[in-house]
Amino acid sequence: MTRSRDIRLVPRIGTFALAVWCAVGSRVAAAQEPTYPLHGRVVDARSNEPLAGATVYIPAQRVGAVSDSVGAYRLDLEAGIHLINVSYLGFQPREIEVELRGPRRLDVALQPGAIPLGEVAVEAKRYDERDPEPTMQAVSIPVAELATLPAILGEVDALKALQLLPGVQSGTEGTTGLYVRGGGPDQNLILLDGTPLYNPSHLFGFLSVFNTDALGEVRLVKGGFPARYGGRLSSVVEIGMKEGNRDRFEADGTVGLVFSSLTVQGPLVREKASFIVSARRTYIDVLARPFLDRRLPAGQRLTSYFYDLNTRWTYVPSRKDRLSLSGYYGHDVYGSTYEQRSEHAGVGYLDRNSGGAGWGNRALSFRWHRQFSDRAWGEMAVSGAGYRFRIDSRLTQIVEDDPPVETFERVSYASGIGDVIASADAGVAISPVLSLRSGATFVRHVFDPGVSEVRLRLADAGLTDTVVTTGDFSFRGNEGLVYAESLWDFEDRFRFNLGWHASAFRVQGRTYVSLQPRAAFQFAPRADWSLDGSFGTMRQYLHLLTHSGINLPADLWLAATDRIAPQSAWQAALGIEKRLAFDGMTVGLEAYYKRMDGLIEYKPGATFVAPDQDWQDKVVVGRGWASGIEFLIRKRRGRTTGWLGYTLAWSGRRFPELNGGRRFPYRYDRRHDVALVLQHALHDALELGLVWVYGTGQAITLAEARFAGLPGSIGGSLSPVAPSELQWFGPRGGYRMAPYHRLDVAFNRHFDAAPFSKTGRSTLSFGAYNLYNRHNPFYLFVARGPNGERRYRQASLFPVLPHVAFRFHY
Amino acid sequence: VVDVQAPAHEPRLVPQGFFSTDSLWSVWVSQSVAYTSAETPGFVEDAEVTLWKDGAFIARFLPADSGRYDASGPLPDRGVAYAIRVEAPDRMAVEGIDSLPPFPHLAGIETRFSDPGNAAPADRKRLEATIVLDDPPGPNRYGVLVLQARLREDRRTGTYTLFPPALFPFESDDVALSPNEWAFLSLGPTSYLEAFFTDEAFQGGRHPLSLSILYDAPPAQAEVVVHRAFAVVVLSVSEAFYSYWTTSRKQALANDNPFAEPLRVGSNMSGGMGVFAGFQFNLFPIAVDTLGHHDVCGPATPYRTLCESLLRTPAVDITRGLF
Repeated sequence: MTRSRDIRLVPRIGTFALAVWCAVGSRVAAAQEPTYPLHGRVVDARSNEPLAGATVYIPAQRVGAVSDSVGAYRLDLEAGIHLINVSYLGFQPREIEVELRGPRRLDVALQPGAIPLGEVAVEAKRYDERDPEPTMQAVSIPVAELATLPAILGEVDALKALQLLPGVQSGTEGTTGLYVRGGGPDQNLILLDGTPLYNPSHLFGFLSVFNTDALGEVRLVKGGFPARYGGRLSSVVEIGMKEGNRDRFEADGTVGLVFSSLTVQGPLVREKASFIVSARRTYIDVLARPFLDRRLPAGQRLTSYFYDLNTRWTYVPSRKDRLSLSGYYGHDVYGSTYEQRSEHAGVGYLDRNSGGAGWGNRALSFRWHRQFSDRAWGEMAVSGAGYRFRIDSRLTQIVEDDPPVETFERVSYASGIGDVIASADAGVAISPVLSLRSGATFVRHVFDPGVSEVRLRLADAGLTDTVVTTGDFSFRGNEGLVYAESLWDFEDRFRFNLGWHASAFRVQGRTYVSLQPRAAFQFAPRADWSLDGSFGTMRQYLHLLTHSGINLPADLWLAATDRIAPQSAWQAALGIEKRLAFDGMTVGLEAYYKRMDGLIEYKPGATFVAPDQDWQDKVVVGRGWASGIEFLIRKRRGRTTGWLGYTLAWSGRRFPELNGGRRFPYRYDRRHDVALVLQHALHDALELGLVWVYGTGQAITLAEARFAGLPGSIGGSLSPVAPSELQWFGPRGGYRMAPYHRLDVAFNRHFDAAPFSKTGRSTLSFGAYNLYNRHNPFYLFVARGPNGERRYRQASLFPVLPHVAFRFHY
Repeated sequence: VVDVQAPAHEPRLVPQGFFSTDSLWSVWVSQSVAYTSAETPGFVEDAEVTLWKDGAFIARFLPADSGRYDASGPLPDRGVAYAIRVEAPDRMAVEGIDSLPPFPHLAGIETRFSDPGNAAPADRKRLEATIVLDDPPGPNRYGVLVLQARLREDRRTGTYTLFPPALFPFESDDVALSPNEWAFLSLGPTSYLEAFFTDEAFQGGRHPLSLSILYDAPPAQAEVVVHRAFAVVVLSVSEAFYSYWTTSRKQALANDNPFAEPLRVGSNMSGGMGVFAGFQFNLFPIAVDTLGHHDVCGPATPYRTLCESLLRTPAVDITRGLF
């Protein structure tokens, strides 16, 4: 009896809460002066492409808004005449006078122009140019700004730019992995047009998979997650592709030493439909082949390249509807082939060996965005994404007899993950004070944790294509989530976002359920001060099993199972920001604490190259935590702009089976992390960019001593594995690699012309990565000295690395 | 590529000793060297090793062989904590303490022949053995399962030859054998030379543990009958023994594998290196011959001599197959 009464109460409480929620919002609204919505879209005047992150600001009232991913903005203003500033980095700002007597739509087209030096370098939240979220933990980097940053291998990389922000750390030298506030690289939800990508790196992580020419927006949320985000613990990186020019055809390209890229965009149906296609390919293997052939043994050849393709097709059938199809395909291939011919007893033998590794992402999404009215919108999407990693070794011997006899052996190891995703979102502005947003997503995961295959064709034995497959075979998991958000805005003095994110994951007959509250607030007692805070819990049903020593992309994407629970975390953050009067300078300070459970690590001694073991038997489960203080000072106006970011951080782990159950530092526990970014306009057509970074060395585990093995090994044990000598490892993470620091410099010389065109533009970019040739640690290895003694040696990756690239635009 | 400074290391004493109910007290004492040193870790000849029982001194070890120290103290009792203390000039003294684990209780054994498979040669035999292990209440127990084999050739002339024991591989898909974690010790995913287990998987009851022995039985000859004797040896080991044994084996196998995670060898010595640990063992002999007979060395066995010789196997012979 009691139970059924409780059950009946639940919907009543929910209905009551919803009624109070809406009523309070409406009542607060009713207490204001009559206001009307001013809404519309900010677009690129040349291409009619939406500008996400554009600022719409009314200086007299100190209120403003930032356009969303489709360029839409909305302000609720009192009736009257308003002077509105609309600006976007890389475009000429506009000042528009608007008379408001009722709801009004105002679309604003901005003309591209030289990057105004007074604009921001990093578009973090500002009180008067607000991010849609009431938190300064959301950071956007306009893609136009990336071009002024120093490049690596001639390419400015979006993910590398994010690594320059406080609270965001890089992995080892050159890698694009993000380690946000003590979390791992798997804990970042990286979305390309809303579709997750699992391994966003090329060239062993030196470059990300994102082709800057095709990007329209890069946004990082490192805390205070709105309820719409789920499935990861540490951050969300939203990468939006350009929609393509709906008015005329354009082409952008880059010719560099290592790779080239070409981006083409244009209208399919004028004003209605557009496309953009962008492709990259490295050719270092082709260019270096003549040099390598002289150094490699005869018959050996190395292969090393990647390629990727981005595309987006957009159709705008009406002012209310927008349909888009986005796709990505990329692949890395690294390998070696060796061929040798010999002769025995008058018979010729041809031995051909090859081996290598390859990995790649693919993603495809279809999205329909509809603006129901000036207050309500909805969006539906269907997408698919996948990642696959493979190591392969082939041995072939051909006996050139009559007839020829061929023996073939192939050993391969593959791992991967694939998703099919369907989602629906909707939002409505109930009043100037209250906006609601809600949605649901379903994800069908297919996991291939790791399968090893041996294929034999032994002519002598009469066997044909014998295949032996071992390992963890694929399994499926279903993930579903729903969320509800309420964004409250009290005269821009006090804003907060409250929401709930609920998710469920069913795998191998077991269901995990999670209810995650999210809250973030922003309080601005004065125009030049703001205080931000947030709290949220997160749940992640995916695991990434990463080897602690090597840096190959041998990471295994795995799922929570009936034996291995999901990861979970909670994070609290509090920050303060002050605007200074000088040249638009701001100073921000933010502290955070994060607690993580359900983390996995390899067991001591375990290796991923043992596919006959279930991966669940190779891992241990533990917890972690991270805390830190982030400091950011930036200058947004004048000939010199830039920022200085500093993070003081701690990140630890505790696993019962590791380090004797004692706490140990996370590999990327970086006590000090500094990034100095400066951009200076030498004159109108020449820019100088400088980046200096410093980070505490990685915490790694080294063998400190050796001692004699088991006594019987001296007397001749019967066991084949009785060791004669053993190593004694120091505490886990007890050794620090050398600190990481380097200085990059880049010059960009702009020309109002391009080859074979009078109307094009071009840029010659040149500079150097690691200008003072710092030998930064990439990894440590053991080598033997002349007397047989062991030595720890540090391999560095990049010396000073000059680069030159030519970018053109038609 | 540049050299980096290795972590500093002061040489430490590394005792390694195992004791059982019927063995002498023996401890090997060596000394660690820095990982990057060109030296080979050597034995210590000038150590002073003492044995303590429940905190009271009971014996002093004497140098017996290169790095080995023996003591003729009383044989160890169950439930008593024994400690060794090792001292040497200019080196920090180290201590370790342990006690004997309970005697492994084997409730029974059954054997039968089964089909060795179509692809097997004609003289290949597959013998299935099921031993029943008990999981008494109390804390977790640790064990090691090995199969020792002896070969005896009986000639019609009345003479015979007994070959020394050797470890013999066996197969088992029993999940209690430390899942597949120890597959690397084996010749295949379910083939073992040494199988480690805890009784956690027994869930407090009796656990029938099946293993399969594949061997070749040459055709019987007029003059010679070949007896092959197997001994299923179950060691009950202390936690310190188990930790040291498994981690050292694992580290040895992972040596030079760049994909292997760092692994610290388990130790119950105060210096962090070495072990002083107790164990006990029990064994089941199984005898087969070329005539196709198999038996479990019961009272009516025709292989009494062979079986009795197996049952009398001293601990040193059993452990010699392992150490």
